[in-house]
Amino acid sequence: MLKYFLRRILWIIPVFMGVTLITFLFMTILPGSPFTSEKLPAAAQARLMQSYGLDQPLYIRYFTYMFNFIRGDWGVSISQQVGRPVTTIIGEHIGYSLTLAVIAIVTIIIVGLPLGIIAALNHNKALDYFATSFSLLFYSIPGFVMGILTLVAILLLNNTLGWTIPLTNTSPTFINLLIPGIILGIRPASLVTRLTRASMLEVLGQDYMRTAWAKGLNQRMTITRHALKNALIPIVTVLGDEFGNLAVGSVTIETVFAVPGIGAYLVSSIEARDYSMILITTVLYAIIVVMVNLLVDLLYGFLDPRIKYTTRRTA
Amino acid sequence: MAELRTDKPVEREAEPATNGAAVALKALGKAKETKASSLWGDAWKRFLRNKLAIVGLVIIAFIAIPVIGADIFQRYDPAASQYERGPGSPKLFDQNYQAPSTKYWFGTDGQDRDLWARMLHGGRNSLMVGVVVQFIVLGIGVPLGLAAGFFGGKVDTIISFVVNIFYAFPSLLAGLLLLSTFGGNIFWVFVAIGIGLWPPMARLVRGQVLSIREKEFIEAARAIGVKSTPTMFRHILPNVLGPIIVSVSFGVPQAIQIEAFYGFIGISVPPPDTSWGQLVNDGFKAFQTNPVTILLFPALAIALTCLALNFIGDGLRDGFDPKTKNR
Repeated sequence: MLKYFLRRILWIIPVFMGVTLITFLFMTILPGSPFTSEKLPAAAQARLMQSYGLDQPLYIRYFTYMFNFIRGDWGVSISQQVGRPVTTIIGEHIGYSLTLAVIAIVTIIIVGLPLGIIAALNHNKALDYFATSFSLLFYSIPGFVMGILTLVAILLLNNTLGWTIPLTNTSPTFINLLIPGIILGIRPASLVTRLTRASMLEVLGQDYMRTAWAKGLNQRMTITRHALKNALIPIVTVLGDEFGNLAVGSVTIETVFAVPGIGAYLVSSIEARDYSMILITTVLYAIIVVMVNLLVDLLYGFLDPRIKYTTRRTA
Repeated sequence: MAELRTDKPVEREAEPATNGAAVALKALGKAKETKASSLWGDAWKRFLRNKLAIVGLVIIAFIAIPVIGADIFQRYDPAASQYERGPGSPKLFDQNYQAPSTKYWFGTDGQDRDLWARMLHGGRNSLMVGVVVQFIVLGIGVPLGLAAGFFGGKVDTIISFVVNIFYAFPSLLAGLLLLSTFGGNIFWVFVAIGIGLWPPMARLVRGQVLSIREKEFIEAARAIGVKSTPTMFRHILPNVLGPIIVSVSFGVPQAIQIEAFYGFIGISVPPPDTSWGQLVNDGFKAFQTNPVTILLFPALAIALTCLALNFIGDGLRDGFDPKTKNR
């Protein structure tokens, strides 16, 4: 089992190398340079390119980056906040993105999951129809459209009724991030509602559930211990995939609500051709995806003890 | 019933041999005297029984017909300014941001252009992205997943490696990089979105093939000497088609939503061409001092289309899942 997890952790290395290679290839074919916007003479631009080593061939830059990365030198921003280490910049912005993600996950757990369970327990009754139709409705509206509509509603309420619903500013606090975070979480939450309902319905029809009811277990125990725990396996699988989308979704929500998070900064980094920032953000996202996949596999073992970990990779 | 259906290929392959087993199987079929029902016929029947799916089909038809026939249904040129036109207009020189009226059904935008025409043409791009991207996803994901699952071994290791790398690569970033490189062409919008959506398809197909490969009817096909290529295409692929179709039906609204976001941040199709996402962006910039409909119409168009497509996707999933058969 230890061997299995070591192998999975080591899997980060080829992913890291592959993802940086793809990003390097993209950046090589990307027209323009980090310095074109400064209206410098061509000679000065060339000198700047040289000083950052950007005039070197692709493979040399790639291996230099790898070497420096392993040494812990992850580069400095070359066009937006010139000379500042990328780690510092990431550190300044990641807090907002993480807060959004946490609020979104809490939304998923306290709204999406219970709604799915309630729907399954009231199969084909009014509550079920209510939950399924709302979840499908919210699942169909793109995150940024939902964000915009919310923003419109807030502005209308603030301007016409004199409400003071907090909106984002340049250094948002938790209160400012609450609404964007919930909006970010609503779409995955509605997916979880749908999945939980389907999965619970399947489990509730199993023989061992009849046994659990028959032996007189109380309702709460039956539902949480016997039904939900088994129903969670497919939900966890999809949630893992959905987490990658959450990272993407945060880019859209940050853009709409003007939250100064990693996602919004990435969009401006691409526009400014800030190569080192693009690289570090890509690597960060990729590592998060790999780690979440590993976490999902760990959860499988916890939810279903029959699952054995072997070194044979299954994914 | 599910077992009977999966057994069918065996029966078909075994018949020419006219051995004892085949005769017995035939006899069994006669004794039961059940009417043969194909997977596709059953799926279609179950789909039609799903009321929401039918509602979805109707909504999509209502949206798709005017959008596909945009050139016929438009009342003005979508790219032309209506400036100084219209003898009956109250203000001759000011046609921008008009509220909906009988003259301009959906109002006008900031450059005096008819929003109804722009919605139709923008919708055509949005729907086209949704559909064409699926061909990219199918073209890359299905062959790779099929090969990885069927051949296993080294082929599987290499393909899975590539899939996993692309899976970990943030798809939005790939799209942003591609579109800032090649932007200005709808072809690259297709590629930018397709590149992020094929890895899940490859994984789905691989997983399905892995489980079907172990079924008895494949073993039977091998045993009577069917070669690997016919086995793959005649016996495995048809059995994976159900999940593929369901995945594609959910992929269309997904692609539309991603394009809408690219349009919203202004890196999708170039102006004066447009898409619903770009129209949302236009409206978002102007809604505070102008009729809010300029933002609401494109936003609702995206939401309604995706809702209807998800209804259809749900119907297809229930249709292809035999477990819901008797429900």
